[in-house]
Amino acid sequence: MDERRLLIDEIKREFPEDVLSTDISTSGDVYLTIRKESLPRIANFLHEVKYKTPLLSMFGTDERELDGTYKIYSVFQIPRRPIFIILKAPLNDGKLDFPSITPLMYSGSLFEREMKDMFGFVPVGNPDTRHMVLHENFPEGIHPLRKDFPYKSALNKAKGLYSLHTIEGEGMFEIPVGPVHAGIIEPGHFRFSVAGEPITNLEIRLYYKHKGIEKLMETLDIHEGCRVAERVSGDSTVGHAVAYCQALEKASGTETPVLAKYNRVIAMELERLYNHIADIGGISTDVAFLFGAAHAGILREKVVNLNEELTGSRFLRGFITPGGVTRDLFRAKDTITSTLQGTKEGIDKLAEILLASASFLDRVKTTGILGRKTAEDLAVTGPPARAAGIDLDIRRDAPYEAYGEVQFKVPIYKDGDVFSRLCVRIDEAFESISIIEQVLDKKADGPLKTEIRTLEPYRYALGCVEGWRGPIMYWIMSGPENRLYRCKIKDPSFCNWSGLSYAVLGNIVPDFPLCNKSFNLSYAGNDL
Amino acid sequence: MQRLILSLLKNRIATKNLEDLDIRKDCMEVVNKTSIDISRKLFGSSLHIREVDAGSCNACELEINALNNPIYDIERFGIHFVASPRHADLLLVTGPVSRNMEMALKKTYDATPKPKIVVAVGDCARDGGIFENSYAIVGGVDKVIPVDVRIKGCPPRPQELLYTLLYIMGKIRS
Ligand code: SF4
Repeated sequence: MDERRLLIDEIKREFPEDVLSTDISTSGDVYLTIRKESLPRIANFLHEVKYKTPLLSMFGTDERELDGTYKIYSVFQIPRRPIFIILKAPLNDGKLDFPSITPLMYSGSLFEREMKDMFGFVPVGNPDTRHMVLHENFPEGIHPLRKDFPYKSALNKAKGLYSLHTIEGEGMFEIPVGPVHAGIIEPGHFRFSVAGEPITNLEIRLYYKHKGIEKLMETLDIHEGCRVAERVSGDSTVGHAVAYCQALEKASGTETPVLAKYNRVIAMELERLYNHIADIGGISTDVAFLFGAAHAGILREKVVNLNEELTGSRFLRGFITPGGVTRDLFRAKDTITSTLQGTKEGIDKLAEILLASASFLDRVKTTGILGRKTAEDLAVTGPPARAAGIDLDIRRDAPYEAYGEVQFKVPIYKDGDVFSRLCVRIDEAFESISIIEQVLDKKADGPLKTEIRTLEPYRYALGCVEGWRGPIMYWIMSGPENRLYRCKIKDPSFCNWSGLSYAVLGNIVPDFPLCNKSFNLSYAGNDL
Repeated sequence: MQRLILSLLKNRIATKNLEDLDIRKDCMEVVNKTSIDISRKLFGSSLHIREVDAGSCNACELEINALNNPIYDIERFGIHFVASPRHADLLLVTGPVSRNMEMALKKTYDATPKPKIVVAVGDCARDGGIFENSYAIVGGVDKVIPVDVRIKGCPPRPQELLYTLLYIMGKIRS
């Protein structure tokens, strides 16, 4: 705790007028209540001056029932330390405006626009005043996450306007793509501004899949939330469920049994494995190297079938449950080991072929570069960050479940191109297999689950896990009668999408699918 | 023919035990019988599909995508995913239709030449699933465009998707 105390003292010394109160939660997260006017300065102090740490999340809450205020929470992690700092800024003078952090920290922009739509907060100084989550069909003045807005509202259809940025000049033209794409993928709109072949600007418009998940959470019992978390982003079923359960367990002070922890690690790594394999295949498809795609397709299918054999669901649904897991994977130890042995050999062969093919390397090297500085400014996380030299991984930095008990390497590459992102995925796939093998070698018995006691109203906690796309964060606050009062979900895609729009600059349009696949971001997890 | 296809399905699909294949008998539900008859006459040996995600969690897409991998290898049955609705005979629609996708779905439907079949994939596409009644969704696919066949599951497994498509083509009749 000393480290945390020192940290609090330092921030207090730096901003004596602005820090109103401090608190260290039982799980060790540092909460600082600050004056809203100081939010940009303190956030920037953590981000730029002191720790060079990305903004993990920023979100609003409607706590008028409690103390008459809305609040803004901003979450940071001290790099490579298991310490989360959460700035809590109440909007307590009855006004909804607050000073935007965007002029100092660009990564705040999207979070602020999200709060503007969902709560009606006004980020003063954010240059982008357009709607984001609520498209033109939503009537003006709707703020779904306010407590006086019912989940089951039937809204009229409006016809608003939305303007995309235009780049003008001789020879410039635009290519609109989506929301319905050519492949079997999720919807989103991409507007390319090009002069000849190279892309000079890419604007990505999302939220076509906005389903009101955060609001739905507020209608649920704490146990039911897990089922919805599993369905936030289909390919990150386990990641989201574990992050949700972790927040819930921290808030209620529940300790999950050892056996559950081991099982969760296995499930998280199985998920990382099949998705990374799929991405290796996807990158092959997008350079028209169909052999690679077919080979990866078979490997992925084997892991997904293993998932089904183990849990009854190809996406491991229903396996994670608040307080533990529903089955014991140790019973199928032999099946898992032998399947993974085959998978390991398969990836090995595939990687060898891919990395020895000159025509393949020609397409992926120096394509879609996202440099380290840009990635940091945009708060990019996960494999795209590690491919750009940013050495962050929640599994190692703030070990959860049983990650503290296994050895693994965090692959870091420097170039930030498609090739680097591919290499990160290949390396991580091998590490995942090794982690699963290490866990399976451990001796564990005992119960699979602890019952979660009832949760007192207005307890809150943060859950954060390293999903295969990067850190997945859940912040929950309980309400009366074991209900959820607020559940903020942040998928890594939320910030990484901006990374993509910078990575493609200067690349030719036909390389866009390749760049896109090397990020492989979630639309559903972003749109919520 | 039918027996041949069933055995193909069983032998090529990667489940460990053949009995495990268990395609649930009630995995799909025909809403509009006439369109199935038309489809069997016209698209019996070649079916072109446009997939539209109208708000899913992406797991339904992943299973549809899996149909293209070498294990399910859907093209060997004459089924092909196309890039534009203008080339499609059938729309596979997933997800509860979100408000923000409603117009795009309608436009895609209008751009598909007649006769056309619409298949709603997954529990969400059926009636909104767990997102039913949300302020941000319109509801099941049939709230926006007419649906001919529904496939249950969250998500439906690839073999069930394949089974339904072959049924629509008339390659499997039971
Ligand atoms: S039916 Fe299930 S898998 Fe399909 S989109 Fe809905 S939640 Fe996702």
